[in-house]
Formats: sequence, C-alpha cells, structure tokens
Amino acid sequence: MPLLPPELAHPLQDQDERAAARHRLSERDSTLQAIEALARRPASAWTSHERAAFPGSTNGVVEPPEQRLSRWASLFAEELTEIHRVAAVSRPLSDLELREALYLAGRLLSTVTGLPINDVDGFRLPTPPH
Amino acid sequence: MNDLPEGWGSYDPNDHDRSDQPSYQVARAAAASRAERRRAAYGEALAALRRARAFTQVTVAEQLGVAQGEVSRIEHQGDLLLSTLARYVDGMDGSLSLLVRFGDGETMELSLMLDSLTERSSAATVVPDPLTAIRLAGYIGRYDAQEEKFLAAPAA
Repeated sequence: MPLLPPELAHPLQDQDERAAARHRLSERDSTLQAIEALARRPASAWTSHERAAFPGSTNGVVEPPEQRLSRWASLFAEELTEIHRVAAVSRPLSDLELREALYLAGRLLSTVTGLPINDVDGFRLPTPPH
Repeated sequence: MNDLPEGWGSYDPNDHDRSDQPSYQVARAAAASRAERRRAAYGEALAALRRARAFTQVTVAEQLGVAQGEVSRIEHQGDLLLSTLARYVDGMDGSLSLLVRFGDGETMELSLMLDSLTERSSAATVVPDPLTAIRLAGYIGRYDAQEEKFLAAPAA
C-alpha cells in the first residue's frame, strides 16, 4: 500500500473550493495535453521560445528539451492517460479523487517543467507562431 | 430546576398512575408554564437582537431570501436547530458562536459559521469511485521511483 501525502485525505472546505479544484484539474490537464502535443512534434518544428520554456538538462546532464519531453511523455504515459481520463469524467469527483488527481498532475508538470509543484499553475506554453 | 413534587424523584414501578394526583397536575402545569416562558423569552431575545441591529423582519427576510413569515416563525419557534439560528444571525450579517462553560471552570467558544453548518452538511458528499481512487493512489505511490528513473536516464 503506497504512502500518500496526508493532505490528500483532507476534505475540501465547501462547494466553491470543489469547483475551484475541478477547474484547476482541467487547466492542468490542458497544459499536460499541450506539452504532450509538443513532445510529439519533430525537433525541427519547435520554436526557440518553446525550447526556452523547458529545462535543457536533466539532473545536471545536458539534454535537449525535445528529447527530454519525448522521454517524459513515454515514461509517464500511463499517469498522463489516467489524468486525462479523470479530468474528462462528467460525474462529480470526490474530494479524494480531486486531491489525488491534482497532486499527480502537479507532480507531472513539476517534473517536466523543472518548477516547484506549487508554481506549476503559473506555467504557460509559448503561443505558437501564426 | 425540578418541578416534581416532593418524593417524586424516586421511581416506584408499582405506582403506575399518578397523573390523577393533584400534586402531579400542579407539577405538570408548572413545567408547561416554564417551557412557555422560556419559549417566549427565546423569541424575545432574537427579536431584541434584531432590533438592536436596526433590522426589521422584512430586511432579514430579504437578506436570507425567504418570506417575512419565515423570520417571524423563527422568532416564535420554541426549539431551533443551530443551523436555523446561524442562518437567522447570518441574515443580520453576523456569525454565531456558543460559549460553553464546563464544570471545572474552563470556557470554550464554539464557532458556528453558517458555511460550516449549512454548506458542509448540504454538500452532497460524493463517494469516490474506488477504482479511480486506488489507481491514482498507485500512480502517486510509485511516482518517486518513476521520477528517479526519469532523472537518471540521460546520465545512463
């Protein structure tokens, strides 16, 4: 049985907080999908802004962002699929499901962007050129 | 306070019907009278609180989104639910607290914010889909190991 961060078991305060959490999950899911879409693009199709938005090294070892994202999407494919599935369900999510999904989505974003988990909601992909 | 006549504090299983006794009638009338005075005092206290804040029953009703008769009913109701009382106070832009005094002298304040009384209780508690909750927990549980793999790979 995995040990989960204890705050995941705390109930949300009220319906406003539930609505905000659901909205945040949807936003994180959209960001994850956009990053996966970028990871599928060939390196030649990346803009310099897109390259600059992601770390150019992993654990101190130089790694082009295109390669890094591709590896991330592949290694975490199951987790990403689960987040997309949970974010898309039409039924109301329980507080536990919301907190778990938000946490997992936050960790995925933190890993790929290199940002602390509390800062991932501020991450925005550069707008693609027209 | 006890309205029972002298000697009625002990229960006699062989004395089934004492309701005809004059002392019982007196005690019963006294208890009913005290309950009525308490009920009236309760309603008076609420109305006095409302007037002290320069609210009318109509303005409180507007704040709460109910008819004026509902506010009147609250003020004349003998035994309110705490959530109803909290809602009444909320209509005057206030919040309800209870001061609890224990026998050992300790006093504790019990805050009864409307949100916690109504929102939390009225929020339909959504039961988690066990499969989803367990699957997410599994991914979270193994995340550190997965992340370690991800961080180690470029060096490998």
